[in-house]
Amino acid sequence: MTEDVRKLTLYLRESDREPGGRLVADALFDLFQRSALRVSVLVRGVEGFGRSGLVESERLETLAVDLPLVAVAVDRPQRIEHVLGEVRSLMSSGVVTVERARLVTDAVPEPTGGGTAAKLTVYCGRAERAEGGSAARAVIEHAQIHGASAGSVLLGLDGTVHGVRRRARFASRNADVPLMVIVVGPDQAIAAARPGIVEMLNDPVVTLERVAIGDPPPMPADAAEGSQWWQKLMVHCGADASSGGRPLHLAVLDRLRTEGLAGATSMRGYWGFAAGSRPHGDSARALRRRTPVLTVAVDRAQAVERAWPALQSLVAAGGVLTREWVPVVDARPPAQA
Amino acid sequence: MSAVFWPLIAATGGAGALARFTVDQHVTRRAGGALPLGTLAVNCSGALLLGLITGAGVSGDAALVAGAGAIGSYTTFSTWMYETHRLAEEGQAVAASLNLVISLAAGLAFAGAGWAVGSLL
Repeated sequence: MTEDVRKLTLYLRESDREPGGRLVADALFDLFQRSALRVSVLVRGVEGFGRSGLVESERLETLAVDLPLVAVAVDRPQRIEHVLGEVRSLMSSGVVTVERARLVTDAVPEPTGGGTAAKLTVYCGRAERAEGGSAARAVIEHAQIHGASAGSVLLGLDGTVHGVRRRARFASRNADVPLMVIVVGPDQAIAAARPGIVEMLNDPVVTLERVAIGDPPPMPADAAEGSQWWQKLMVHCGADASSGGRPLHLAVLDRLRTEGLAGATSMRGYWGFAAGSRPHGDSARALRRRTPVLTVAVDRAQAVERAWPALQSLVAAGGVLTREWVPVVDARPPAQA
Repeated sequence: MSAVFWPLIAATGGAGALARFTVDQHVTRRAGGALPLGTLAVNCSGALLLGLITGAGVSGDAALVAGAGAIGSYTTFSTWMYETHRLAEEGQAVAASLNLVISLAAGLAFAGAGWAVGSLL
């Protein structure tokens, strides 16, 4: 069985403040808590740029003061609709999308329908266990065995799980803070992996969306009122993928910027794989990081179209590129400082 | 050292830190690229200044205020190490090595040049 839900996504900055002076990220998750949203997760990017074209990066000390954030919330359509007005009033700059998704509530396989590829997102606590280990890692393992193309575990800093606020704290175990596992692959691979994934989790929140791995998908006819259809690009880079002696995600981000996209955010996965690599994470024994990096960009279709060929040749070095149509309900340039 | 100098060291130290942030960010934004050039720029310009001051014979409390206060907080060893470590973490061994070697060589050259100029004053 599946249930029709909406996925609200905000692309913002760490230092963004709402009109009342509070940090937007704090105000946003207080709102999600008050509204007891089924699931929400805040993820901090390690690198990114916005409309100004200025790069923020964790790698360089003085560029790490205003990193990009991605906030995601999933619930029934009317509940998302209900918070949307207040979300928009909090936001100072950035992009807001409200996508259709299907919440997978049981393990019975169902055709994903229509698309050639699908994206499965699992929301659970950081310390949730499955099959004798970390649930998130088990989901990744299971997806790869069934032929998924890429998957990443993104740790949240804040969020709600089944309506309860779970916020990460410094020097704390943070066991209940939500994480997000994103898996993409051909329809049949995701359909095959789905029942096992739903079954291994205690109280799963799993959503399913259509994406395209290759050619552009047909544009949906039914944009919600007041929104317009843009495209979302996602680039999954494997742990060992590199281009010109640099990690692939840096080359991807550079390319997105020089192609003139309005913005992009790279998020470091805690565990994951892309394009045939084995699932990897960091090891205490190795200096070199071996984690996947997921880069997301949302822009008008023609901008995505323009960047597409260059990105396709870049990801041949060990990445997976997907795109999908997303209804954008708000897109605001940064206020002039 | 007289306690009179404490607030002075605090003030010049604060100013040095602000100058570091401004110069580092300005250079990094413009240079982008593979090496952390913002950090290189503050470390080299700081080495030049300290060379200049000591070469000019400034000593005692004044040298302490300028050296430990202003330039001490303007230059950064820790960021140099941190950013080198980040390059190594990403598997960029050549860039990490270059960041070490270039910073050392350029830092020594700037300090020496500063000293040479300062001693002429």
